[in-house]
Amino acid sequence: MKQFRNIVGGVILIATMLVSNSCTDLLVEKPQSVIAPTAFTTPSGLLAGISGVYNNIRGQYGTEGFTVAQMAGTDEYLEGNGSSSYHRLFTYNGITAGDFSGGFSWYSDINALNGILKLGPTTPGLDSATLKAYLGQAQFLRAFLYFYLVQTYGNIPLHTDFITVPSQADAPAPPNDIYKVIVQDLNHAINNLPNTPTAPFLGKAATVGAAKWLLSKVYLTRGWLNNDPNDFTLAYNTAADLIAKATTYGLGLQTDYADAFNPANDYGKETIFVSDHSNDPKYDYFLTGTAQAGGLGINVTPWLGLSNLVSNVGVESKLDPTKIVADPSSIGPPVYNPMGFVSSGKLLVNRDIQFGRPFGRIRPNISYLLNQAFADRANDSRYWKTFQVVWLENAGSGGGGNSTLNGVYSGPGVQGTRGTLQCGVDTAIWFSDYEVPGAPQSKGSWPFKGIIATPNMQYGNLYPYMKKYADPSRPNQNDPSTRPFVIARFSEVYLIAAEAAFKGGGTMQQAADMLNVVRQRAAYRTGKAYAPGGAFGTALPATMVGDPYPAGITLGTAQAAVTITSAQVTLDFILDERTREFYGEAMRWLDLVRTKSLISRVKTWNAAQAGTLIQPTHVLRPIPLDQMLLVTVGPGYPQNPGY
Amino acid sequence: MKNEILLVNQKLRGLANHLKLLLVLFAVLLTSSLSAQSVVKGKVTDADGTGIPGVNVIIKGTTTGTATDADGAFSMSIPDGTADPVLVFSFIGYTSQEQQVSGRSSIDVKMIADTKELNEIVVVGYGTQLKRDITGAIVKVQSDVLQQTASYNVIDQLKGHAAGVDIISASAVPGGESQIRIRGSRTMVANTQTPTATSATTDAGNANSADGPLLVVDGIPYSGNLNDISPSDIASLEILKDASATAIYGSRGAGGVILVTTKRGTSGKTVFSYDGYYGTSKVMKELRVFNGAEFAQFKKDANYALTPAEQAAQAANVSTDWQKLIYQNAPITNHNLNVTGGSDKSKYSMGANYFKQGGIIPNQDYTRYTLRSTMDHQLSNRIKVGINTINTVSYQNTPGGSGVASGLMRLTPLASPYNPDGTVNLLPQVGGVDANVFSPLTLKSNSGALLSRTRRLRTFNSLYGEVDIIKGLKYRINVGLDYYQDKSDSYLGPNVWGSGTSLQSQSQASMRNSENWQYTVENLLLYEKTLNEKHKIGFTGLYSFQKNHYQTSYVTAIGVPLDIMQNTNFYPAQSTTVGGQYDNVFQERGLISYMGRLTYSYDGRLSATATFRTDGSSVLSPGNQYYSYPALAAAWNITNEKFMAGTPVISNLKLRAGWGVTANQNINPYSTLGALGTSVYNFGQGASGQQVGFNLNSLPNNSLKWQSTSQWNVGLDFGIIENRITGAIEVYNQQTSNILLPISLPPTNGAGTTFTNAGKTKGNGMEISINTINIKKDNGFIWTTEFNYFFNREQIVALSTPSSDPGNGWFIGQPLNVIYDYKKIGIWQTGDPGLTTQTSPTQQAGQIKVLDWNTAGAVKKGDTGYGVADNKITPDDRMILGNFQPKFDAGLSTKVAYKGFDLSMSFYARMGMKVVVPYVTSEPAGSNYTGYSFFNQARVNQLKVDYWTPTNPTNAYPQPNGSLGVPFYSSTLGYVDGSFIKCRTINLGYNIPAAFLGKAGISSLRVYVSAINPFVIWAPFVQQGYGPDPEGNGYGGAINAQGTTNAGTPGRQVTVNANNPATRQFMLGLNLKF
Repeated sequence: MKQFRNIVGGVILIATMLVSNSCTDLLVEKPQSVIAPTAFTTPSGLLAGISGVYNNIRGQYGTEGFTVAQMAGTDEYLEGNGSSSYHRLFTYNGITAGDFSGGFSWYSDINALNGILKLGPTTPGLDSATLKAYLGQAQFLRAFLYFYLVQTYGNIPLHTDFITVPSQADAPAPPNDIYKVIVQDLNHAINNLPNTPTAPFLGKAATVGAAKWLLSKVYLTRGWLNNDPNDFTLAYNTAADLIAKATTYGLGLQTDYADAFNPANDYGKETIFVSDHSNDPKYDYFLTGTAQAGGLGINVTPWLGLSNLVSNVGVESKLDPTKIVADPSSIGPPVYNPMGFVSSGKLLVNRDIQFGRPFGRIRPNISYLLNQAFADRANDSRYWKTFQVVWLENAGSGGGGNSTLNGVYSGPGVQGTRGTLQCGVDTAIWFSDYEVPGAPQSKGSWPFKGIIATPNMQYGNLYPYMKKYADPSRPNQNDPSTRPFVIARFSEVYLIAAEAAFKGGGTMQQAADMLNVVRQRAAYRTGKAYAPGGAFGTALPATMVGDPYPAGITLGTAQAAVTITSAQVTLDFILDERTREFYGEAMRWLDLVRTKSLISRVKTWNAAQAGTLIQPTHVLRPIPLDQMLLVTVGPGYPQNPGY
Repeated sequence: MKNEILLVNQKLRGLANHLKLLLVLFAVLLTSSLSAQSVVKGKVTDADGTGIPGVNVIIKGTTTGTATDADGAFSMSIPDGTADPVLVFSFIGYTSQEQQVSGRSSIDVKMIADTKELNEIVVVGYGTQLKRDITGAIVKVQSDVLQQTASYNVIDQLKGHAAGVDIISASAVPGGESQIRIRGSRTMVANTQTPTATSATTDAGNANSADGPLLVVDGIPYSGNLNDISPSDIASLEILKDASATAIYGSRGAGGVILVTTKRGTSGKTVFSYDGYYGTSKVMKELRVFNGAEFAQFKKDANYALTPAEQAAQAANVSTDWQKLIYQNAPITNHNLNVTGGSDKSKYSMGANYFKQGGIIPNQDYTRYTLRSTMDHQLSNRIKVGINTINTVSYQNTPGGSGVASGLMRLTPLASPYNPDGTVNLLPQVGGVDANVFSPLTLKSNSGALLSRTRRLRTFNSLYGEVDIIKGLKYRINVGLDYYQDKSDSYLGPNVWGSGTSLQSQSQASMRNSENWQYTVENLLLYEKTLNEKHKIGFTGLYSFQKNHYQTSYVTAIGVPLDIMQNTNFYPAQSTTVGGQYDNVFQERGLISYMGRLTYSYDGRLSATATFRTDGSSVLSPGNQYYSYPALAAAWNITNEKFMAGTPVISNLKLRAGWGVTANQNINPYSTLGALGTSVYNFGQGASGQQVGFNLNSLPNNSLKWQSTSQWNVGLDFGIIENRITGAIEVYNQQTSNILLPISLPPTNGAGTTFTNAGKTKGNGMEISINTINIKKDNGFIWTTEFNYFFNREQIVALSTPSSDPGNGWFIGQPLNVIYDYKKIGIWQTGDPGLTTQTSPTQQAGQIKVLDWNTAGAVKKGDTGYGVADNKITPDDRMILGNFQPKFDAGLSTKVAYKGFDLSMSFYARMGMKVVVPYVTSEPAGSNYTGYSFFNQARVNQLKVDYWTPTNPTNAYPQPNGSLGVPFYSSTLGYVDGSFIKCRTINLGYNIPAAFLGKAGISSLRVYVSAINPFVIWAPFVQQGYGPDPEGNGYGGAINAQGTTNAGTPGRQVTVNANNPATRQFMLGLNLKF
């Protein structure tokens, strides 16, 4: 019995110890690798919150879906052969609420910004200068996000308080209420932000200059929305003020239009605001060589406008006239090769780092570009600085196509019936800007060793490359770009001012003056003539236009030729000018929507592909299906008309 | 193949040598006692006096024995010096008998039909009970049934053998796991975090943790998959199905409980046993793709140009079958050696297991080494202690991953696999868009540049101590210590399958380490007392606590300088990166439990059980951490009542009924706190601009509490005609409420998701199992059959919202996972007037035609526009097209035995559910890019389908189209009837008669051949040409309906993807005891 008592006693003792030790400890959660929202009440949490918003902005800008959606279905673009998923955005054929969701995820960023703005002022351990910089960033970003959302969707909710209690109810606010918050935020941001990028917000993060650029554009857009002359005046004055104080903010125009897109100038004076990327893979979410294509905020812009040349241009390619159909932008029955460009023979080029990774989502609406926007390609240099029209042989004698990463840059290349092309010397593919008789194999009676692709030959897999975003520093041809995505360039400030002046915010002369600044810069040229060695055989001299002035043109004559008078300023002229200046820079769709020109411009310049099905209601994108379906408490969320 | 056989032969020979040595050793020991003998004769008869042939007669405690002849007569020698010999008579279907020889030379025995059914001991969780006292729905599956299917995982062996247990294959790579559902699903789950490229968490993973059963090995909760335990070490599985049985596991019992009992030592002679098999696994059939000529035509029909290389190959009549070139027959080997023995005081067992399964894809394999030992020791009259330690190392090699099969499908057949000089044609798709796809033959030719290996090291230990305090009262402590570590290594060099680069500087390596540990301490008080010989009372009290820890880290490197370095040294690599936020995790959770169970039985007629458990968990909000789980059950053995005495036909009849409450802890630690995701951003290019970012992902919830499932179960056990027919019928009904639901919030409300206690589901079903002895002839011929049939009907009753929630894919009144999509009604044919009336989208002949039946905004019957066509296809036109819940499952095993021969076959059917076939679909929009990219666009090869052309106006598949992009409504192509009836195994064995073996010292030897997955009897999936095997092989890969973004829904769908193809296996094995 004694033993029994001892045992029982021991057991009870042990059990009691275990209880007292574990109960308190075991049930208390101590997260270590995850962070709870309370982190926003620390200085480093506020900074990380701002960085997180920037990261989500690049989750859209420069990625495939978002970028394509900013350009598809306008006058500037047709569908590329690889557009697959975006077909409906190019044609307006049955766009539904699920086809367009870009941007609504930004509301979690808006909420984080609400939190930062609310908790920042009471966060301990923050000096007033740092707090000011953080608040300025948050105000700018909240305005930036709301501005995109209200332009794109029209009917969106307005939240300015930090939401911490989950709710399944929501309703749209009047757009003017949203604009009011945007204007207020930007005015606060102008007071709080530094003039030039200051650590930790380096690169081209928000500054006073960026806030003024955005504010002028906001006023302009609201002016169009309400037809309010006061807003146009505010827009003009804000833009003019920014231009006047440009040096204070470290901003200005590059002398040469091409320099604006030189990777070395990505953070230069012409760049106002960017969505950043990094060549440190950790900070850019990509694994080099893995052919990453989507899902994360990686910059894929260099690929989107690149046609799949490697698979589609053989040295013996020819025209099959029987296959030519009238309209290359037809949405009719599927035709792979409407213009009868028949590839045969060894492929002329290799896919390599320089030649990029063809995504082929969008292609230039070449008829609009050559005949309207870039009609004057002699005095205005921007067509040539926007498009790469010449591809040199890089494929070696075996022929190209396979994407072994190394193009062959010297030595004999592909041998065709018209001779052997020399790598790095001979032109393999030339996208002419006019119809060349004898193309694709010859220019008139002169045989051409490579292939000449004329405007009429262009189809979904063959078109000149929009080269502004090319990133030759990528280690692998399948790697994304690590260049920042430039959201605002300084030349836009002039065009905002011009548009505001044209709408009554200034005089017509002021509008012309603003346009002329941009246009005269476009007249600037430099560089040597392009000499396609041996490409035309031995006799024909190189007459292809490269960077230098064509015969008889100088800077002076070109600038005089592009200078316009106030009488020439029309809305269409301004829109054409925006094409010349910003082609491919992911702002066309919103430009046309703002200026209420989407329907007319599309019907005029993109009639066959986008013009037949576009409806007036398409100026607003459909409210994303998630929003429609997940507002389950209270009144349902209203869809925009027409969807 | 030949080489592999030789290799295995060598290994077998090596093993045989060891065995021989052992045999000699024991033969010496045995023969020493075989010197002088006396003889005993006799006859064994049944109740009617007819002789029974084939009855085993052995001397107790030895392996010496014989069997009766055709008349039931036997004769055997008893070695002199055998002190007080006892003969044991045993035969299937009869109770074993023991007869003391006591100097007799003739012993006649009358065998009595077995009614062991009721006296069998069943493990019930925290103890055992006599089967006749069981009140809950419990299935016991013995190892001999499991072992019919040779597999490395006992769950795989269980398939089709237990009513109510639905097992879905979830992976076809060697070492892959299956998913188990007991009585269906109860919980809605959705994505709780944004998956990244390397994130391990999926909807399926969440669903598994929500609705999978609790595994308990020798009393200790077991996490992870049962791959780590050799099936040969398992004595039995007990599956607790209803809440009255699982409520003692409280918060973890809702998904059912599988109790695994491993083999332990027995007192008496040392017994060595060896079980081994060798076999080969073959691809059932390749997926049917276009051959060279067909592919050329397909591209032509799609207006997609052949590359110059393809044109040349076409001219040369090249048509490469890539699948045939890669798939190989793969060996499977298993060796298991076990020693058990002991004295009255100490019992032990020791075992070693080696298992290796080769993959049908080169260099894929799974290897496992296990060492196990158990010890039970009586320290004193009152104190007993024991330990079971299972130690496993396993390697899973999956170079190429599970994507090889779909990769092979995609390759152009118009390319030679080899160059004229015999080397591998490295880039077979030269000149095409997918030119940078390296040949799959590099999986063999350059295997050193491909590494994908997961090593698991696990030690699972359970200890107990037991003290008899007073008669009937025991204290027991169970301590479980479980640790496992996974190390995943990968390396992908240049110029190999899957790499996409020819530069060494682009080679990739990674290393992932994860560590799990868990300790469990259980304090139990057990009391038993019988009053007046009729009232039996039992009490079990428990206090236990448990802690789980999980930590993982992940590092990647780019630019490893040499292939041979693989991932062994990251220092020379050009860059190293730490994995993303979901790759570096620290998680801990704790659980504290109190439980009491009271059992009472009266006179073998009535029994009752009452349990009460309280669990407290760290993952819930403070204040809501504890919840209690009551359960009550009773059973009535009707046959033991006097009024049943006159009904001899019914040999057993028992009615059971029970009710209980259980739950699931299906949320991750820290879920109630809300979460910030982490990200990174750099302001400018310099290091000074590099910043960590926080993003608001989910909002906190301070009131999260337990969800609970209450369940009713009524069961009837029966036995008819001397238990020739036995079985059980179970009917149940379950209700789950306060489901811990991650709900997606409207995007505008500031965070993606939050957890709430919302939603109710219910389920009911029926399970029937019938075991019959069909024929039992006096000559020893016996034919038995086991049959089970079950179904479960699950349904969502309420959600966090008043109406259905299509955004999350949940519909009140429907099963938990449904297909919600447009209804394909055919292909638009030329001249269809609908082509002109449909305004959005405008379509053309050859495209998929879906049903237009609803207008925007109409949600339910009675709304304006409900059921009305408006010539526009909008997301409102979607409808529920089916679900993944089988109408019923059934299993049939049958066994014929005669004179040492036995033949068993098992069949398995799942009927009336859908599966999704992602490789006939292609993602229309959005960022998921699942499905089969470029399906029907002729860019890549694909499943050979009957596609539309102007001259082939089929309604099956749309016109291939190289330029228009993803086919309209492509998701509608992927829904297939997943019903099937399969033969699971055929097993033919022969027991070499004891008479031959006795002299060699072998007590039993069985040799067998078996075929696993030999054939599919019926399956629409197979008949319609989708593939060889309709069994789902995973989740995910399914795509969204066009123009929708139902986050998570496709991730929950059961898919049959082009993963590693299904295999059939043929084995040769032996079981030896000496």
